[in-house]
Amino acid sequence: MVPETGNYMIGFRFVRPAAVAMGLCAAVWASLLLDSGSAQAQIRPVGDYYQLQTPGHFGATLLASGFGSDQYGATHESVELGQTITRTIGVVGRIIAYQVYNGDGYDTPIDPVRSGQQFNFGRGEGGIDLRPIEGTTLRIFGGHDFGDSNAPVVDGDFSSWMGLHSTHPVNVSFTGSHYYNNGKTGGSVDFRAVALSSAELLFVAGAGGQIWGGGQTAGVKGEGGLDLGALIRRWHLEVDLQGGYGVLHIYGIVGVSRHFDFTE
Amino acid sequence: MLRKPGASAGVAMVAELIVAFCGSVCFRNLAFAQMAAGSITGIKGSAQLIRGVQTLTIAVGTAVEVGDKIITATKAEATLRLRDGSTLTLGESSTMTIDHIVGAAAGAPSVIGLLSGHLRSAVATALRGTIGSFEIHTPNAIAGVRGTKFDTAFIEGTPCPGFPKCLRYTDVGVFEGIVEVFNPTNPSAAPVTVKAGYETTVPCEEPPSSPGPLGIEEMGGPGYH
Repeated sequence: MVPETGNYMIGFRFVRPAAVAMGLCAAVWASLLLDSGSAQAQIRPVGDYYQLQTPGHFGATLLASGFGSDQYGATHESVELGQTITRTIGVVGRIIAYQVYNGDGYDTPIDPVRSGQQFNFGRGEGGIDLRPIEGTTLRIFGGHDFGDSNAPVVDGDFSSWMGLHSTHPVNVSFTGSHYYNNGKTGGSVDFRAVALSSAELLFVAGAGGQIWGGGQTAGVKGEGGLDLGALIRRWHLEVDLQGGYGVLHIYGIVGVSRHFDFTE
Repeated sequence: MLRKPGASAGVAMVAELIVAFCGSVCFRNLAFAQMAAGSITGIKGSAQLIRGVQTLTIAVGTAVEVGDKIITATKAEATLRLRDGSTLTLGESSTMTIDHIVGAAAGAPSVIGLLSGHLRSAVATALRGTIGSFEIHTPNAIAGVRGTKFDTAFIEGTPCPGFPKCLRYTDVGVFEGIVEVFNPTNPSAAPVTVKAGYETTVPCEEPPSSPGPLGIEEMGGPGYH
């Protein structure tokens, strides 16, 4: 068994270049937002940062997702609840059930030396949801795994739309997670643009991928490919697909989520 | 002292003419004010109709006239079918007025005032394709319809996203057809044409924003992350 300090050191060595890469992406994105020629495409603060939002909004999201490749297979299901506090600040919590069928991918906290069986674990997380700029969200979570993974976890995700008031706005999103169970750090980057907007459907297309490393993972691994997504407005139902190639060879991800919003 | 008969008859004739003219004008105004605009076809929660000094509680079948004001309470919704065939659904905590209806005066559009809250409009087929046949007026926007289903919301007392100092704004989202939106408080600003699947925001005295996809903030990064 690798000593915990070793895990942390390997994880730390990976986190630094990943953090630098994420920071560079964020800087490039911020400069694009600031440099947009049209006044309507520039950063637009939401305002009213500290005043309690009335009426408030309570949201619930159900998600089912699956990853498949010839070297790694996993599924997860989650329930996420969110409550607004002000227009720009909210709290969010989620419970996730994971199943890892085989292999070692970007989002598993299972030690890769344990193989040959299915692993099941749950995750409970809570955090903060920040919306400082119109069309931009930053969420930071902390929580704990239980089951075949049993250790703390920290997660974060960022999403921002550029050109919200245009025919084809572009979204960039980053996610990052660190699993204390196996010392791994993983993240994803996606760029998607609105291809079609109608009364019934919002359709986006772009490209994205995942990188991960640390723990027992040798070096930094990655994969990437095409992104497709559709929001069926009537049902608040979102379907997302990604397919591509990487260290796990050909892979595919599918996610289906349904959002419910309640005005208090 | 006796008046001259001729002078008396002349005064009486002038008086009668004035009375007749006033009566005609007043009658016409009265008839206009009481012109039937439509009726309530659906109600959830409680809503009130204000007609002059009268306040009525709305129920299905309540007749609505030009000049009436409709106010919905929290968690209430009222659906109104206009005489021109259009359907309006007034959301919770909202206020609208029936300012004019097609047919009341030649060439004039149906005009609905939205003073606060949210209004969904489904414009009658007969009015579609006719520019300026149906309009929603908020205090800082006019949405003119070429035939469509669309939502209008006028929000007051909350900062407009992107314009933190602006505390009143109008959102117009289009589900079918095309809507032309302009800000009557800023006549120099060009109108914006919004097609199905898009929405625009009119902040205070600013021109309408370029249309963006409807409800795009519901979507962010891929759900599987």
